[in-house]
Amino acid sequence: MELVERAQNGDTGAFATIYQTFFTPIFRYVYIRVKNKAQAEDLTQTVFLKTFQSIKNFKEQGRPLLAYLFTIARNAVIDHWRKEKSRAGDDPEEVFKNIPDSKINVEETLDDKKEIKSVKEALWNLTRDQQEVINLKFIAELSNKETAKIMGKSEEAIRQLQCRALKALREYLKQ
Amino acid sequence: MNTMNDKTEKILIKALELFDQGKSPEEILRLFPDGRQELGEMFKTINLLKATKKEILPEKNFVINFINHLNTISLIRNQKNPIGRLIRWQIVAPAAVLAIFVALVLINTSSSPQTTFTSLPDRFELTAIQEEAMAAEFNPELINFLDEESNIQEVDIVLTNL
Repeated sequence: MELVERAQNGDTGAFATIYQTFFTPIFRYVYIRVKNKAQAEDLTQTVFLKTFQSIKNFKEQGRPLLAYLFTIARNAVIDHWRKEKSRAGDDPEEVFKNIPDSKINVEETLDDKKEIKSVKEALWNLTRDQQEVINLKFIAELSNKETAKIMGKSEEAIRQLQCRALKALREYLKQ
Repeated sequence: MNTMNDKTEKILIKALELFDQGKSPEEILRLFPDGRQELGEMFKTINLLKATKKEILPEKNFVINFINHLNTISLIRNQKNPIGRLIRWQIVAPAAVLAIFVALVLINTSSSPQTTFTSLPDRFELTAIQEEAMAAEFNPELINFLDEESNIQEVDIVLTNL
């Protein structure tokens, strides 16, 4: 909270720390939603620029900064999809062409890489809500309460949704 | 079928709740022997998601470049502020004072055609000036003549009324 207060008072160093701390989780969320690394980086930058401009208006009131950032990210992705036409996400082959390979870990087996690619592909074939809940709960590791606030649903609905999403994901991976 | 699905779903929901609370998958599997297969698959999927998460990373240079960009934005903002203050206090404020003064002058002019100034001392001053001018203009001989004329006129009026 002290970091947020300093950022609100114009301390750029404090905001840079916030950025470094939260950039990766926000990037991951955006990447899963837009399926393209370059676009994800650009959108994440937009999210933080908007946060930088609006941080003076941020009041915690039971909602931590990360949840606030995810709300901005969610809105940014929705705006992005409104502007874009149907993306290559409908065609998984096209998706893999656009994604640069991440650094190869020599200890990784070929099977591991294939499995992770399969998980990404499966995620992109879930419904929007299912993808969102998996993204927020298991990738971003937010609580049910935070996920519910961001998605505008009840915690009970989130519990049910995540259960069905995991099942749908599993079914797709089996194919 | 639906009852079984509902029952399985309830087990999965409860299991996820316990998992969120910090219980290990092994502990949860022991609690729900009926749902071992479904629960096993669910935890395997969660592990795959965690592994996938580690693979999704931004480029390091991008992060560094953005921080530099952030510092540039901050510098521009700080530079703009002194200009804003200058505009506010050395141009806008004096202009506002001048506008108020002009408005007062215009109001005073429109309310009284004879006097230009509304302040009381000025009014007295003007009256005094006028009286002085009037006094200076009067010739003493003329005053005497006028007095005599007015007396004669009074006598005529009295005689006419008799």
